[in-house]
Amino acid sequence: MTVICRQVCSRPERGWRGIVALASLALACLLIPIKLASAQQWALTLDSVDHSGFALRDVRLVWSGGKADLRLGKLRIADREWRDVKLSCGELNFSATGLDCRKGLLKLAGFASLPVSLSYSKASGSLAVVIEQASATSLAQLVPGLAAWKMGGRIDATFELTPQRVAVRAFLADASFADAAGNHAGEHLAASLHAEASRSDSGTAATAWNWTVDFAWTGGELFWQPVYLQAEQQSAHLRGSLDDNSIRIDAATTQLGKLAQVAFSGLWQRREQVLERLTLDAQGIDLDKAVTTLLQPWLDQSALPKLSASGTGSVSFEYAAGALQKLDVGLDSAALSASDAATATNTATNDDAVRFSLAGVNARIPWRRDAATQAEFSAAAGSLGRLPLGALKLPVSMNGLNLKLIKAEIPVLDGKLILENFAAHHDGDNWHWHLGGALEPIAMPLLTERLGLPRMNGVLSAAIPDIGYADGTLSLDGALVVSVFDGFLAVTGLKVVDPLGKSPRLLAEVQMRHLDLGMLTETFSFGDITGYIDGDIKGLELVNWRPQRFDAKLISSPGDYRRRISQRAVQNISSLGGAGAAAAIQRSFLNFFDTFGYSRIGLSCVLADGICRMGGVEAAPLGYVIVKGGGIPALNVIGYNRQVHWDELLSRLQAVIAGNSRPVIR
Amino acid sequence: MNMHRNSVLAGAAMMAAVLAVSACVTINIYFPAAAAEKAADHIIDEVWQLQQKDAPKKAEPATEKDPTK
Amino acid sequence: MTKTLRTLIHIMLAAFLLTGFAHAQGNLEINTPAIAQLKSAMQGRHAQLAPFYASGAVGLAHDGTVQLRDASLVPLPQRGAANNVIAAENADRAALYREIARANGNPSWEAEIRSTFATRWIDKAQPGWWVQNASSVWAKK
Repeated sequence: MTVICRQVCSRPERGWRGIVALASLALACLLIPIKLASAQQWALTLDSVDHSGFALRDVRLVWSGGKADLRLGKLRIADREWRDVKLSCGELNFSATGLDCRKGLLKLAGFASLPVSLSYSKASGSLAVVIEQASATSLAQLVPGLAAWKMGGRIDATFELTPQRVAVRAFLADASFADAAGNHAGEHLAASLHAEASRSDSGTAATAWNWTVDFAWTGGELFWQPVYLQAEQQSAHLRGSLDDNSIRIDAATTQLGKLAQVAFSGLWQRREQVLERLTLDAQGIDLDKAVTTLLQPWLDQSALPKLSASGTGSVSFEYAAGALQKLDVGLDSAALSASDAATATNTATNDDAVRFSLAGVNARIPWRRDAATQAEFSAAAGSLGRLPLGALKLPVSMNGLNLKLIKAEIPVLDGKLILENFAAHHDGDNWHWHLGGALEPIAMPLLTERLGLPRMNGVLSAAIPDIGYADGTLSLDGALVVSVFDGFLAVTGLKVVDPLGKSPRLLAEVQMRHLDLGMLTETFSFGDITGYIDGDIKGLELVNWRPQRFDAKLISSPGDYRRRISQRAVQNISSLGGAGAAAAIQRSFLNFFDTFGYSRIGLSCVLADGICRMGGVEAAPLGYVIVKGGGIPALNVIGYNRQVHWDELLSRLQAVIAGNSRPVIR
Repeated sequence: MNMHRNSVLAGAAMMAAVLAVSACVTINIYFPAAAAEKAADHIIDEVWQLQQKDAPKKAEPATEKDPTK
Repeated sequence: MTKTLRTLIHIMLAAFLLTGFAHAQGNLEINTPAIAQLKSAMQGRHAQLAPFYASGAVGLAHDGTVQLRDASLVPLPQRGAANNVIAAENADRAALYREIARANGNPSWEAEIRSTFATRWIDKAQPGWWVQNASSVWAKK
């Protein structure tokens, strides 16, 4: 016997409630034949069911001996359409109270079948769908966009639908996924999801739901280029509401394993598609873990320095009205260090590799968009390159995008770097800042020893009147003065263009006055010269920290002092001129004396296009005088080579200092 | 006489120059495939350390005897 | 005039002889600091790449690069490092081909040097490694 129940559904209510309505309708149809006869087989056919959320075409239900087969010619949900959908129930029970489809199989044309059970209770109006041990592969095929992914694993899921409530419980076991390139993949994944939504009876016309979501990631590992994560009981609990206008997260707490606890809330406007408000509070951030798992993989991609950190931190912020309103950052007993990216070939010692480090860092940075606040940053110790830094404190006053630091002292070896009157502001595009400061004397023997340079005597100190940064250029107003070798070295007009870029450009004028040649030559094992020297480097330009051009001149200081030059120094000076330079002396005569008197020493170099145009204290026939004799025995050193490649000059200088050069003396 | 000798010399020189120029040009136009292959082998052997570690690896071309190491 | 010309001829003959000599010996200039530096970086990196070649995760492509053939052969924890090492190797290889061309005064040779290398990398690959043929099809050697 066959009953044909032809009906076109009227437009039911919005939302999944329609599904329940549909189930009721099907049931109503089903109930008819039961009363008609106890037949062996019957069939039900519906031409079409239309709903704003879904549509069915060519619905055919065949029941026979406790089993049932449902066929949908076409099923459309939202924009997605499936053809030839089959649901067969191994056991179908129905009665006046409801419908129960057990051992069901859902089959879509061209796809693996999905084990499913359905039950509908008329009394509560609830529909329950249970998916047991479904393969992730077959589920993924149903979702557009996942077709290109390799999926695996098992899913158990229960859906409970009533007119007032939706609940989903899902468990994922031994699941895996991967995109074609393998750059986004997960393996052995286990997770559970429990989500519920219930209608809030506010009495208003708009449909509103209150929802909660509990999610736990309990097993497996994830790689999301370039970040790799392992499951360690990460979980999230979210509570919020949803209506036609907005999605609201009232409270969300997440436990990201040992990484951090994060709480957040927010409001998303659905119509305008804007984030209206977001507050986030991350506490107990394990800095070591955060840096190694989240930050370092990004740095490794571009071979940037290796960072390491320890201690705990916290971050919280509030975003509203299209801008960050407040930001709080805290660090507790943290340590930070940056070292050169380790290349496989370089197994440099750890000391050399560490560029910068700070230990015992505590920070409280409470930034507010529209209020003045005070930030505290302190470190117990640190290092910059090979130089140790002492305890430092940076009390920064903040007012929106204006930052000020009155004074801070950073101990460096036995001296101190003093920063004063630091002020920075952001004009909407760029940061501008300037600061003044001073370097209180550092003993040169200590400094040079630390830097692995030849031991120098004297002290290094500096006055830094004003350093400013604007438009990508770091510039120094006034003079950077270094007291060294009993005289001083002053740098004026210092500018560094694009200091952090690929090829920074440095411009400066350098003046050296009254440098003790004895100390200088001793330091660089250049032989011995007694006296003092002045120097000027005009128009110095370095690109990528290498000299491009300058106009440099060294000349013995005016005044009355002892002027002697040793035989070795003479030979070394001659070597600088290369094969073309010569000392106008007789070798045999020279050999009797260790030192000679001089009246003036001078050497100049105008560098351009990699070539140094050399000169001396005065012109000589076919050359220039580098050392002009005076006293007894007197001797002149004359250079004949006017043009020398800068690189060659440098290597000659290095050879001279290394003590393995032989001058050509004619 | 002297003039004549000079002009003969100049003519010969001119021809030599032309020859030399054309010879140079010829060398520059064609890619030195054999040399490139040899250079590649040399570098690959070093990068993969084929010569040091597993010397009797596989049948390599007979030209692969590079004693400079 | 003759003197100038003679000098010119000498220079040219010398140039010809030198080039010819170098050519007859079949040597390209590969001993520049830049090439040495690239070579040593690649040599150091080989220890990291060799297991990937052996497992088949990484293969030698016909364009003179190395490519991730089958990411699933690299355990997830190492996948990021594998991507980095492949990117670094390919950057160095590209620089090597460019440098050799430049060191020999012919930057336009870069493509030919690359393809020469591509062939030689593949020829010298160990048995069991994966290599690509001219139509980008992978095969195990």
